[in-house]
Amino acid sequence: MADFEPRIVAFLCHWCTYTGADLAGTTRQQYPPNIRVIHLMCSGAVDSIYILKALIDGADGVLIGGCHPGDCHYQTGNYKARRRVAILKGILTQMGFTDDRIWLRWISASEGKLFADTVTRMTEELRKMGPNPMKQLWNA
Amino acid sequence: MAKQTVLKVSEGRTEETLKVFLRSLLEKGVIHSLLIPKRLPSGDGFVQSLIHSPDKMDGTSVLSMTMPVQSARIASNLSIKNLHKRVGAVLKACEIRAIVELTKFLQVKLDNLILIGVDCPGTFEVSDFAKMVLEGKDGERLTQEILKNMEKGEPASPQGYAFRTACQICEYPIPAADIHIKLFGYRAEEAIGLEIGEKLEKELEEKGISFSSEDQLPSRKDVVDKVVAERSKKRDLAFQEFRSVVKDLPSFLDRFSTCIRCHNCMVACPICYCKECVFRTAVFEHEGDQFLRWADRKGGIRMPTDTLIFHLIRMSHMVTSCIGCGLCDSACPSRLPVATLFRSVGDKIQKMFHYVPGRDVQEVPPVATFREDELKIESGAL
Amino acid sequence: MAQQKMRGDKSSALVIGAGIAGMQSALLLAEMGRKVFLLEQGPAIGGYFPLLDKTFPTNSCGVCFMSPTPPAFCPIYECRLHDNIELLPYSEVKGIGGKAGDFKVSVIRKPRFVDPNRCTRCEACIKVCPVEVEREFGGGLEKRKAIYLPFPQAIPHSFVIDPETCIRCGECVKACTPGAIDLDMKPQEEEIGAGAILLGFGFDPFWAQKKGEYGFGRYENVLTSIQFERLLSTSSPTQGFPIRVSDGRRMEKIAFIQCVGSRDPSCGQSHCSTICCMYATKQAMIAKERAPNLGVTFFYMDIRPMGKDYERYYERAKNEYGIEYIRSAVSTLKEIQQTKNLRITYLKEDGTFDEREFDSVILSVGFTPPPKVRDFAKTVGLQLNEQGFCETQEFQPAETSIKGVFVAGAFRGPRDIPETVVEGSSAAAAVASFLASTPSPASRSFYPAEGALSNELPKIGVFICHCGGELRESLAIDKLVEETRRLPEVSHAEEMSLVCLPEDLNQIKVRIGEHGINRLVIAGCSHREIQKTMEEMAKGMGFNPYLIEYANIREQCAFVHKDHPTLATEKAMGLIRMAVERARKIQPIRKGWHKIEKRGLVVGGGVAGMTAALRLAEQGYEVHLIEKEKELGGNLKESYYTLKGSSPKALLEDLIQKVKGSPRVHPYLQTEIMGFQKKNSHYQTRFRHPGGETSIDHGVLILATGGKEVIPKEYLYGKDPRVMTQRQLEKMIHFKDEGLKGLQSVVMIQCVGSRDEEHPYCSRICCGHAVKNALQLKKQNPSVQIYVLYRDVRTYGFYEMYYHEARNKGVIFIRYDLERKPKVALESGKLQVSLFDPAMGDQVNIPADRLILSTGVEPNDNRSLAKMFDVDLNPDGFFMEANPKSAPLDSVDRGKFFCGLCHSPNFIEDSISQGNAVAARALALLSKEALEEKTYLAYVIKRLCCGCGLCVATCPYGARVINEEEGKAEVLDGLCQGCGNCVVSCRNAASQQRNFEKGLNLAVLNAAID
Repeated sequence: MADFEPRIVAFLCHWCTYTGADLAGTTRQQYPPNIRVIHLMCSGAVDSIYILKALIDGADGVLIGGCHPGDCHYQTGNYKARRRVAILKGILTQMGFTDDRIWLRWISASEGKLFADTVTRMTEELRKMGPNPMKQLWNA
Repeated sequence: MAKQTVLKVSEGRTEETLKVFLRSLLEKGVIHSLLIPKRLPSGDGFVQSLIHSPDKMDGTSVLSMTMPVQSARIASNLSIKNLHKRVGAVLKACEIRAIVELTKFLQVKLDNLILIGVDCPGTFEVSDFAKMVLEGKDGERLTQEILKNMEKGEPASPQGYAFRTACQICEYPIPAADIHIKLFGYRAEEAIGLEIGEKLEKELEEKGISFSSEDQLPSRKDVVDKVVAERSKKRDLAFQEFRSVVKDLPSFLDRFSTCIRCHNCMVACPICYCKECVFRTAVFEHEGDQFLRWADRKGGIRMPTDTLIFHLIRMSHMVTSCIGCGLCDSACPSRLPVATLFRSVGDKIQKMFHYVPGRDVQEVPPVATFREDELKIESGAL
Repeated sequence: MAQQKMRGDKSSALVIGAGIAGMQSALLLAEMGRKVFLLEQGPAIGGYFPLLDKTFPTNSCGVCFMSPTPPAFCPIYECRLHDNIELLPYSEVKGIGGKAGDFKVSVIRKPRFVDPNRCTRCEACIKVCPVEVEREFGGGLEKRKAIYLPFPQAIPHSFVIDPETCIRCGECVKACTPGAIDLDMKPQEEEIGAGAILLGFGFDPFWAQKKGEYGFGRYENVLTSIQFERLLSTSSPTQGFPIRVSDGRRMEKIAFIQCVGSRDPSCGQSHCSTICCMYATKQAMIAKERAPNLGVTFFYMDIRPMGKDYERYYERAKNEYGIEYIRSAVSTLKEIQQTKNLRITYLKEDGTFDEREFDSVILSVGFTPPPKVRDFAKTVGLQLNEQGFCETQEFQPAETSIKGVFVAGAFRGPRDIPETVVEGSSAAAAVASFLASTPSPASRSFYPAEGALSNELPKIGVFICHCGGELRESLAIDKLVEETRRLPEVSHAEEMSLVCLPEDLNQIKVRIGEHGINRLVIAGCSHREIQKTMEEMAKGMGFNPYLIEYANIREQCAFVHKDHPTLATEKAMGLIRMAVERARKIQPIRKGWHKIEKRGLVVGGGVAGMTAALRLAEQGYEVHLIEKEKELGGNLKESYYTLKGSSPKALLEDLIQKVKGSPRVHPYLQTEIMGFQKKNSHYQTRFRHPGGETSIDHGVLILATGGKEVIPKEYLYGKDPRVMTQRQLEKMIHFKDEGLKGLQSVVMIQCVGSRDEEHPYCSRICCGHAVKNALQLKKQNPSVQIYVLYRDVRTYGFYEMYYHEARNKGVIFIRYDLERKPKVALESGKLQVSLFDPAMGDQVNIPADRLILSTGVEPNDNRSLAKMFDVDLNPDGFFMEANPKSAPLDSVDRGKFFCGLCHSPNFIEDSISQGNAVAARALALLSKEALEEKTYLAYVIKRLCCGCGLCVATCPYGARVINEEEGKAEVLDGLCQGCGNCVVSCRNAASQQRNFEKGLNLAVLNAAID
C-alpha cells in the first residue's frame, strides 16, 4: 500500500476554480501530480454520471471545484451542484458506500494556495484510504 | 373545502353501488369517459380500460385487486397532448401520488382529468391473482373479506394470499382525489364515505347528483391510523432488514449480481418518464476500443457494462420522487428487491429535503430547485 | 526621446486612470463602438480592485465581478481583451493640447524594460535578481525584486523593472530565454488624439503617518486598513489568516480606529470618506470568519452604512459576528514594549475615559486625492474643490470645469464600488453624448471564410511548447512529443519553443498547410494566456477558432510539480491525451447573431427616467417613456432646493422641456403597462394610455418607477399640525410660509421610517435633508434653536462639511438609541419632546414649536410590475440588481435596468448619475447592429426531449422555454450564456451543450483515467 498513488479526477468551473488552479501555477504552489483536471464552464454542469463513471472506471477520488456561494458566474450553478452532489452522496451512503472520495470545494480565482492545499490534502487522505474499491470491481 | 358525504349501499352490494355512481357521471356528462380496471375475458386479471358508453361498464371493477401497470403512465399518455374532454380515472392511492409527481414534471396535465381515488387495502401480484382465480378464491367472497378487514383496519392475507411487498409497507393508503371513495372504517355493505372535491362539488349538485347526509364517522381516523402505523412498522423493518443485508459495496453487488440490466424496473417505473433512457442513448454507446481499455485496466469486466451506474444514476433521477408503488419489484425478472432498495434510499433523500413525493402538486421537486442557505458544511465543502 | 505619429482621432476617447471607474467607462464606450485609449500610470491596470479579495455587502469574491453581460466577469481582463480598447499602461500625460472635441494629448510611455509580448512570466529573472524591496501592492507587507510582477493577475501580464531600485547588474538579461529584457529601453513620447477625455484618477489612501499619535510606522502592530485588506486576502502569504506582524502569532484582540484622515480638519481632511465604516466592517467580519475567536472592537464617531443593503450588513456584524462598536474618541495609543501590544485610551460618549489593550490595531484610513493631480490640474486648468478632488456641478456629475473633459469615480470624492461603477457608466454616457456628432468609423476586422470541416475526419496537430526551455526543467518534452504521435487521429506532433511569438505561430501555420491539420492542440501555458493569440491566428487563416484545444501543462503541471519530473511528465501526457480526445470530438462552432431592436422603453418619468430617456434619444434611438401620473417629474416636483445649493425646479423644467422638445422621446402620461413578453433578442411591451393601447418592440427596458416618502405613524404626525415632515418643511421654507415666523425651538427627529423593523434599511438622504433645512431655517431666522435627534449622523462625503457648518451655527445634535426613542407629548397645548441624552447621562425635555420628522424613503409598490417584467425585488421592495458591485443597475436578464428611487434611496444627483448610467449600459447594447451569441450554447435533441421543464427551471437567464405545441424544450440562443446547467438538469441527455456534450465529457474523463 505504501507506494499506492491515488488518481484524482477534478471537474473545475471555468471562472473560479480553474483560474485558481492557474494561479497556483503562476505563484508556483507545489502539490502532488495525482490530479487530472477537466475544465467545464460551471460546477453546475457536472453530471453525477461523470462522478460515478470516474469512480467506477478507475479514479480514486473526484474533486468538484466551484465558485463560493454567491459568487457563481452563472448566478446559482454552484448551489445546484451542491444539491446534486448531496443527493448523490446520500444515495451512495445509503447503499453502504463511502462518500468521502467525492469532494466538493469552493475555491475562488484568487485562492491558488487553497487549491494546492486542497489537492495535497485530498491526495494524502486518499493515500490513507487506499485504492478505491469501486474501481476494482469487474462486475460493476 | 371538499364536501364529505355518504353513499348508501343497496342490498349490501358495495361494488355495484359504486358503479351506479360512476355510471351516473358518464350519463350526466360530468366526464366523457371513465378509466377503470376491467376484467380480462380470460377472467384471471384486470387491465385499465377507457369506457365511454355506460353500457360497457360490465366487468369493470372499482375494487380491483391487482395493478398490472401504473395508471399514472396511462394518465400521462391520455392528458399530455390535446385532451379536450374530461376523463374520470379510477386510481389507487399510489397511482395518484405518481400522477402528482408527473404533473410537476409536466408529464400529466390535470385540467381534464378527474381523479377518482379509492382507499387502498393493497394489491396482489398479477401472477398470484391469476392463481387465486384458478383456485376460485376471487369474486364476491374475496371482496367481502377485504372490505371487512378495511372496516376494522386489520392486517390481512385474504384467502391465504399476501399483498405485494410494496403494498404491505405502504403508509399512504388514502388517496387525495377529486372524488375520494372511503372504505376504511366503514361497514361497506351498508354505506361508504364519499368525498367530493372542490373541482366537482358544484357541478355534481347542478347535474342532480346529490347525496343525502354529511359524513360523520369519527372511528375512521383510528382505523386509518392503525393501518398506517402497522404498515409503517413493517416498512421500517423492511428497511432495517435490507440495510443489514446491503451494508457495503460488495454485499450490494452480491445481492444484485443477478441483475441482467434488462431495464424492466425503469420501464415499469411511473417516475421514469424519459422517452428514451440516457442509458440507451449515444452517451452510453462506447467505442469498441473503450471496452478493451476497461478490460485492460481491470483485467476483465462484466458485460454488458454499466450495471451499477445504471441503478445509481436512475436513483439520482427518480429517488426523490419515488412513491413506492413497487411495480419495479413485480417487473424484475431476477426477483431482486429493487422496490425496497429505491424506497429505503428514497426515504433518506426525501427527508433530507423535507419532501414528500405525491403530496401536493405545488411542491417543487428537490431536483428542480435549491436553497442558498442549505447543506452548509464546514469550510463550505461537502 | 522617440516620437511617434499621432493615433486616435476626434471620435475616440482617452480615459486616464484605469481603476474601477476608468475601466467601466472604457468598456462601455468600447462596447458603444468607440475607440478608447485607457491610460494608467502604474505598470498594471485595475486600481485598487485587485487588492480586494472579498467585497461588501455580499462578502463575495472581489477578484472578478460575476456577470456574464459585458462589462463582465473581470473588468481588468475584459479591458485587455476588448478590440476597441488600447491599453497604455505605465504612461503619463505630459500635456493636453487641441480643444474640446479635438484634443491632442501628449503621453509619455515609461520604459518597462521588459517586452510584454515576449515575457512569459517564467520567473527565471526573479531567481537571479539580487535586489529585494517592499512590494507596493498591499501596503508594503511583502517583498519583491527589482524585476517583478505587480501582482499575480496583473494586466499587462508581464514583468516590469523598477528603475529606482534596479542596480543594472544585467543578471536578468542573461537569464531571460525569450530575450524580453532590455535595460536600455527609453521613455517614448506619443500623441493621442481624442474627442473627449475622461479622468479616473481615483484616490490615495490617507497617509497614516500624518496622524503620528496612532504610531503607524513606529508600532509594528499598527496597520493601515490597506495592509489589513491584503493580509485578509486568501492570496496573501498568510492565506488570509489574521497574523500579527511583529511575531507571526494569531491575532486575538484587534481594534479598528475609524475616521483616520476623515472628518478631521486638523489634517486637512474635513470630508467623510464614505466607505471606511463598511470596508472596516467587512474586514472585521472576514477576519472573524477566518479566526472565529478573534475579538474585534471599533472606535468610531458615527457609523455610516448608508448604501443599498448596508444597514443589514452592519446589523449582522454586530449581532451575528459579535463585533463590538464603541462610540468614542481615541485619545491615546501606546505600544507596550514587552508584548508589542497596544493600549488605547478613549473618551466615551458620557465624557469619561476608559482604556483597553489590543494585540493589533487597524487604522481605517480615509481617501485623499492623489497628490500628483494638483500639478496636473494646474497644467491643464482643471478646477479642484477645497479638498483637492475634482469640482463638479451637482446636476452634471460627470462634467469637469473643462469642456470635453469628464470625470468619474473617487476622483470626484470618496465613494464605494457600486457608486463608482454607476459613475463610470454615467460618465461614459456623458462622453457618448458629447461625441454624438462624431460617430466612430465602422471598424470591422475582415477574416477569410472558414473552410468546411464538419465532414472531414479529424487530423490533429499537436504543438508542445516548452516555454523557452522553462518547462524542460520538469517535463521530458521529447518523450511527450514521441508519445503524442501515437495517439489516435494525431497526424502531426512537434515541439515548440514559444508558441505565443510570431516565429512559432508562423511555423504552426505552415504545418497546418503541410499536414492538412483540421484540429489543433496547443500544449503549453493555460488557455487563458494563449487563447486570444491562437484564435486570432486561426481567424486570420480561415481556421475555425473553436477547433483549438489546450493542454495546460505549464500552470497546472510543470510549475506545480517541480519535484516530480517523472510523474509530472506522466501527468502532462495525460493532459495532452485528454486534449486530443476533446479535439477528436469537438465540432466547429459558427456563432449566430441576433438583431438588436434599437428602441428603448423607460417606465417612470421622474428625474432618473427622463435623464435615461434623453440620453438614449441623443444617440439617435427612439424611446417610449411611460408615466402613470398626469405629468412628468415624479418626486422632483416636490423638491425646492438642495443642500449643495442647486435648483431642482430649474432641473425639472429643463428636463421636461427637453423631453417635450425631443423628436425621439415619446412620453405617454396616465399610462399603465398591460403586458410584457420576452423574445429571443428583444422585448415586447403592451401599455394602455388615454389614446388607446400600444405595443412596442424594444431592445432595452429601463425601470425608473420611483419611490415615496414614508408616511409617519408616530410622534403625533397627522394629529397635530405642528408635526410635519422635512419635505413639508422644505416647501414652507421655500415659500417663506408665515407659519415659520418667530419660531424659537424646532426639533427634528431622524430615522422616522428608516432603520427600524418595518424599514430595516437606511434611507441615506434624511440626514442631509435635516441639515439642509436646519441651515435654511437658521438663515431665515438666526435665533431659532434647532435640535436634531439622531441615531448616527450620516452626512457622508462632502455633505459632512454642511454638518460641520450646522454645528458651527449652533444646531444641536442629540443622539438616541432605537431602544430609547424620543417621546413626544402635548403638554398644555405645547409639544414636548423628551429623550435620554447619552452625553448628559440624563433625560432631557425640549419644548418644540415645530416637530420635523425626517422620514425615510420607500419604493412604490412594484410587485405586479416586477412579476410582469420578470425581475426580482429585494426584501425591502426595491428592484434587485444582478450583482451589487459589478452590475448595480442591471437585472440578471440582459437589457433590463433599474435606476432612481426604485433601485435604492438616493439624492437627486445620484438619480441623475443612475439615469445616465443605465443609458450607457443600454447604449452598449443598442449601438450594436446585432449581438453575437455565446460560444458554447445549449441545444436540444428534440427526439429525446420529454418537455419535463427541468431545464426551464434551472436556466438562470430565461433562455429556456417549452414550446407548448410540440411539448418540447427550446433554447433562446440570443439569451443562452452557455453555463451548461440545463444539460445536467436533463435526465436523458436531450439537452446538450455544444462541445461539452455528455458523451464528449465522458470520453475526456476516460482519457483522464488512463
